[in-house]
Amino acid sequence: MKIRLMDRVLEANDAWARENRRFLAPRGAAMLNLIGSPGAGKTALLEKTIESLAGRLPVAVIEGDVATSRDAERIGRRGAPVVQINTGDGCHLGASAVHEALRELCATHAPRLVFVENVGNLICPAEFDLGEWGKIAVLSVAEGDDKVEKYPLLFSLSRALVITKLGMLPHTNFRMAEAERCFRRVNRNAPIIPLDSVTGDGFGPWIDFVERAAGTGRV
Amino acid sequence: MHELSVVRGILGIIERERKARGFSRVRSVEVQCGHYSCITEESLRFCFEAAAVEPHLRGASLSLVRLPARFECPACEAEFDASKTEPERCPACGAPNPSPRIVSEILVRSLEVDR
Repeated sequence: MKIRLMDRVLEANDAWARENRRFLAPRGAAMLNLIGSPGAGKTALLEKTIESLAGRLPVAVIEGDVATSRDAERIGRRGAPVVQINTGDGCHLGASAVHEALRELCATHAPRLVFVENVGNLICPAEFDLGEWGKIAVLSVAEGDDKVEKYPLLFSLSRALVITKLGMLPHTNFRMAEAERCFRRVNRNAPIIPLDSVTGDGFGPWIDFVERAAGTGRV
Repeated sequence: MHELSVVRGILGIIERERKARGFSRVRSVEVQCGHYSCITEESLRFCFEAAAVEPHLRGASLSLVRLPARFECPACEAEFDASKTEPERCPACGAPNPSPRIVSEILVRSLEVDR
C-alpha cells in the first residue's frame, strides 16, 4: 500500500523555530543568525559589534561550536552575556538547542538583539531555521569571490552579506564586483556590507543595519 | 553533511504514520528535495540504514528525488526548469542572466507499507 504524504522533514525543528519567535516577540528582541566558514571572522565581527553597541543596545550572544568554549570566552571578555552550545557531532545548530540557550540568557538579561554565531559551515546551517529575524552571510575576502555562486542556498536566504577582512583585499584576488554580481543573481534586496573588524572600517553601515533589525525585527 | 538530522525527521514522520495507521512493515520511503538542498542520496541512505533499526523498518529502501533547478527571467518573469547547465538566456524572451530560484525544502513524498 502506498501512502502519499508530502510532509516536511524538518518540521520538528521548524516548530521549535516558531516557538523561539513566540518567545522573543513579547521581549522586543530580534535574533540574527550569523553563518560563514570557519575563520571567516564571525567572532571578530561580534567582538567589534559588541564594542560599537555598548551603551546603545543590550546585546546577547549564543555561540555554536563543535567543541570548546573559546568563542564564548572571547565574547564574555567584551562584556556581553553569552551561552555556548557544543554540538559534538553536529554540523549546525538546531532550534531546540537555541531555545534552551534563549531561556538561559533571558532569565537574567533583557537583550534587544541576540546574535547566534552558528557552527562554521556554509552548507548545513542554511537549512535550519532557528527562529531568527534574519540569516547574515559572513564571507571573508580571503575565501574568494566564487563562494557566493558555489553555496547559493545560504546567500539566497540571507538578509545581509557581510564581507569581512577588507584590509586584506589588496593581498587577495577577491573581486568585489564579481561577488556582488553573483550575490545579486540569488538575492535581489539584501545589502552587501564590506568591513574590517580590526580597524573598524565599514562598521557604520553594519551598525545601522543591526540597529534597524532591532527596531523592526520583532517577529 | 546533516543527513543524520534529516533521517531523524524522516523516522519521526514514519513513526507518526505508523501510530495513526498501524502498518506492520515499511518497504520503501520516497524523499524529495529542492535542487539546491545540500543533501546527497548516498549519505542519506547510509544514515537511514544505520538509524532504521526497528523491526518494521528492516530492509526498507530509501530513494531521493531532486527537483530540477528552476530559473526566473528578470525581464519577463517567465519561470522555467533547467536540467544540467545554467541557462545563459531566457527561453521565452531571450534576455540574459536568468536568476536561479533557490529551493531547498525536504519532504517525505510517500511510504510503501504492508498492513
